[in-house]
Amino acid sequence: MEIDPSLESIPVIPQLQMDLDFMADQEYMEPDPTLVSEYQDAIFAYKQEMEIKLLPDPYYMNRQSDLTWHYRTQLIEWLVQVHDRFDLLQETMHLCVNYLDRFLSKIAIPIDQLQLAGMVALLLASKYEEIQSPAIEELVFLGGNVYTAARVRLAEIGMLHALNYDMGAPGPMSFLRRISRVNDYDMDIRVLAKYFSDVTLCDHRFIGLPSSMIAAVSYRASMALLFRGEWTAMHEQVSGYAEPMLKAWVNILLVMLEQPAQTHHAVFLKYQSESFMKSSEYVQSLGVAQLRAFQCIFSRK
Amino acid sequence: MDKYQKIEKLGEGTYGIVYKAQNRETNDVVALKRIRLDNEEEGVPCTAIREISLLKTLRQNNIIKLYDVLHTEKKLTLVFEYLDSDLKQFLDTHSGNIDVLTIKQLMYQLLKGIAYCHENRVLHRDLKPQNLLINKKGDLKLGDFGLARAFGIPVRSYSHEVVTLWYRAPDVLMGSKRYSTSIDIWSIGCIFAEMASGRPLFPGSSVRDQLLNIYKILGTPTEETWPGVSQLPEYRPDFPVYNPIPLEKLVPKLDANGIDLLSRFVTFNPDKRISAESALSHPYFDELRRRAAGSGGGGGGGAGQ
Repeated sequence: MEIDPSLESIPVIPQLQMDLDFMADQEYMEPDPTLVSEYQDAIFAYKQEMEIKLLPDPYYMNRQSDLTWHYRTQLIEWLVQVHDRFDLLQETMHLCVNYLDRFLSKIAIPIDQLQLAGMVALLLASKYEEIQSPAIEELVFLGGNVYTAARVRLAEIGMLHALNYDMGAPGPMSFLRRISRVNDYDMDIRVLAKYFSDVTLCDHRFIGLPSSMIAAVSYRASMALLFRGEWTAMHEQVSGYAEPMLKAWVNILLVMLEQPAQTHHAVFLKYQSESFMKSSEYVQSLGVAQLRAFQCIFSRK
Repeated sequence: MDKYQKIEKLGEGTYGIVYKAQNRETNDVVALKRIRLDNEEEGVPCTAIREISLLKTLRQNNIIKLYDVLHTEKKLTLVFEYLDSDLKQFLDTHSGNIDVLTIKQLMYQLLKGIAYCHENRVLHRDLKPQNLLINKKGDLKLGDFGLARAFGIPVRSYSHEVVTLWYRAPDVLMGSKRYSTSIDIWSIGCIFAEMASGRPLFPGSSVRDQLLNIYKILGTPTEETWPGVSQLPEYRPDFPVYNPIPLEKLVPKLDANGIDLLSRFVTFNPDKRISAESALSHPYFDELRRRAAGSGGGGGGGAGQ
């Protein structure tokens, strides 16, 4: 197994010529005319159809003789770091994991090809989503030169074909923004919810959930941990989910948050930074007792 | 061994070579777009990935159909439905002189296609006569989705290196990356005028010259006519000040409704530009609705009035 989840394993690349697709400021500028209000309902209806169509099989591990969920978590931790190093968009990370899981739902691979699959998923997600995607050579380098560029190119065709060229899986971000309307685009809630939506990538139990539900779960948890009141009828209407549908998932998330180092180390470190408003530190500052108190609230009677 | 027999080379798209070909089993004529992969350092071009993925989900009469994708290690082949001509050729063969009803019918189909794209969160980003395919029945279909992309809500900023110069919106020319569906609407306005006059509306030779071409006709924009214009990344205050010319003079073939619609397409402020959906219900198209109601489909006779 070549995947090394420690941050130090990633060398610094001095000459990345990326079109830094802003992020911080632009993301939070809302509301604005680019919300394309006229088409919003049609677009969301379409996204809801697509998110179901392009859902991976949550039980694919039964057919993978060489892999385990633990390996998947390790791989995603590594991908989060590579993704961060290239300064890619959050959408790209969610697309990448969708491609990876859908690929593994269809094709059984040996363990020594898992990292290759992860690299190719990230490459394809970047090509689909970003203005400029990482060069294959750079990915190869970050992958410790285990695979050649030619190998990556070949695997790319293979994955495209396995995914049936259906690359437009909607991620949770659009849904998050939509719910966030109910709280007047409260930035704190949204940034923390983004952190949580990334945390869900690290645990296989969330694989079968549509993005709109990942968004609702993350948002619900975020509201709770920021003491921002109840899930109202408005939240339910805009998100499409009633609170009882979310509770069990919020709980899984809350348990993960107790042990960041074991469950989502790389995501935790990423969200410690100023640009993510130190979201992960905030959660830790609440303390385990507080997280457990929330678990009681959200646990089913 | 090939399923398709090449007939002739048709041209080159944003990537890859396009051939006319025939399916050996069914005899159907198709268009093949071949993308060679053996010289591609970066693997499958993102343009191809987006085009395939987007066209697979876009199924509408005014959008070209992607039938199949074939791949080997060395090349990727996209199999499209074949149409004989495109709007550029169509204009050339009619020496730029198309009758007003045909213009209206083509415009309606163009707007139908793009409204469908926008509803399905896709920006085309390269609308121009060459990319509008036409067959002998007068059907129009949007082709070449090589520069298209899906957008989120709200729309993020995307590359500003999009759209062929003559059809590129002024906000994008001035470096705006936060464009949206309005980017396609500007192009549609340019195409509309070109169909009606037989000449490109704004044939610029560089970004600056393109803006000058636009200003000479629509007038130089100011903060009053376009709030926020001076905030655009490449806004220059030193442009000559032109007054707008009435559009009737440039495209005398269009009636008052046509001129009104054209002016709503080529509106400076992207937020004020009409949407494809609203454009479809513009009075300019009432004639088509009357004809459809009167003749029960088809174009027969002087239905309606």
